[in-house]
Amino acid sequence: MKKIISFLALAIFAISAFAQVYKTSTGTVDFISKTPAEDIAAKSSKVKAAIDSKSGAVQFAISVNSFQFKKSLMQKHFQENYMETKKYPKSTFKGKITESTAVQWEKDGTYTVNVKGKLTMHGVSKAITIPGKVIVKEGKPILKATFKIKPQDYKIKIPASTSSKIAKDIAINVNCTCN
Amino acid sequence: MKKLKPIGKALLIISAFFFTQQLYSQETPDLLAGLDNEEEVYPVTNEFKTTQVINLPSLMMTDIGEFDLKINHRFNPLNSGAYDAFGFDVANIRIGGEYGIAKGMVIGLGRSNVAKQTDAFLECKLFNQTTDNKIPFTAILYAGSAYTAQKYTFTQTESGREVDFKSRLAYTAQLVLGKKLSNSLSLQVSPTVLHYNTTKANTSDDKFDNTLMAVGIAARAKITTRTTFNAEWIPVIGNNGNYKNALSIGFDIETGGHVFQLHLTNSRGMSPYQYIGRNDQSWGDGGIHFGFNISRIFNIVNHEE
Repeated sequence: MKKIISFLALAIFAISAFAQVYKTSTGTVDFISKTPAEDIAAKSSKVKAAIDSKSGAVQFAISVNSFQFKKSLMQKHFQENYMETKKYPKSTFKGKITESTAVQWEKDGTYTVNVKGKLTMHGVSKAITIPGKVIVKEGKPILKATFKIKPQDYKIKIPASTSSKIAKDIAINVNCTCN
Repeated sequence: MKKLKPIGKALLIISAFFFTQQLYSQETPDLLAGLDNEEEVYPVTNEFKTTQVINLPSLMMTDIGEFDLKINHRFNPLNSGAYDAFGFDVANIRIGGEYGIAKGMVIGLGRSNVAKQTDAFLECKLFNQTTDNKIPFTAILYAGSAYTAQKYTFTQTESGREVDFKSRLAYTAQLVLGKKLSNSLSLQVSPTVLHYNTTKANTSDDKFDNTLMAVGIAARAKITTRTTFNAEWIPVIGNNGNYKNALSIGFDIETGGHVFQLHLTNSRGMSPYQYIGRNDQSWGDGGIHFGFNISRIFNIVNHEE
């Protein structure tokens, strides 16, 4: 009986050790819209992110209100007219690393991965594949990605009068150091 | 059921464990669980499209480093008659500006051709409604003064007091209390004290109170993302002679950095001393002014990170 219990305990321990989830709630995401008229940039430093080293599953969540702009009028317009944060307070991403064996979690290094999943913002969910990097440093992964999205894909309405000031493609930068 | 041998039991438990583990991972567990313990809290904003409901200061304040140019315009009342094109021929204007000198602190200045009045004010945010509703509403203190330069139509003897610089001043203090109830609906109440150093300008009636109280009540409802319907009513408490309470309705139209406000109101003046306590027109007899406000924001200083 003792043997069995210790075996069980070992099995549970092995599983939990193997399926480590690295997390953070202070990741950063910034975006920039570049047009000849003006550049619009904002950054959030309150990004929640988690990655499961066993399954390669990743999740992100951002309170849209956490994006800070240099011009407060832009921030107000972003919240009120474009992202409608009162209705859609959070943007999320749920996905999985497609090549789950690519990352050696115990070994420092930079691993290039693709993450396939669902990006939800402004109440619209879309399947998306994001090229990113997992940088393992002292046993902790840093998740980095740069990709572009189109506001129209997420039903973010841009009136004709401001269309020249908002880029068709918004560049997004992700940088989350997980523990 | 036969009694299983201990080893069989253990195997069963282990396989059950693996099986549930498998199931669990298939329906993508919430990896972020545990990170949500601390709810993020943000100040509620965008209660109105601009810092004025129609005439009343709204729950919105010009942000730090921003300059908001205000061009307010009221035509004469619709009952002016055909000769004045139902008010269109006469322009009552106030040109002013507001600047956010610090976080939650705004100064403003304006000049109106109505009674040649210059008004100045200071606005301070006392507290702001939060997204978690721990602070359920927003409070702003508005304090101001105005100097009326128009020549009096009465003499010093008639007024019984010296018509000097001091007699031309008026003061106001107002609390702006309000709440964004939903994405579309915002409500505010504005308890106000007004003090006129003289109540005799343009009238020989001596019965008016120098100090008046008023409670402004205002609301906005969104029609679309960028257009809203606004209304405000400012009943005055105190003896204010024949002057009428202000009632105004209007629309806000937002286009990028501009907000256009179009409205109907029985107030000709555009400073609190005029639109709260000095309305001689009433809706009942067609004393309705068509008017508009234009607000244009200029970013003077960028936010610090």
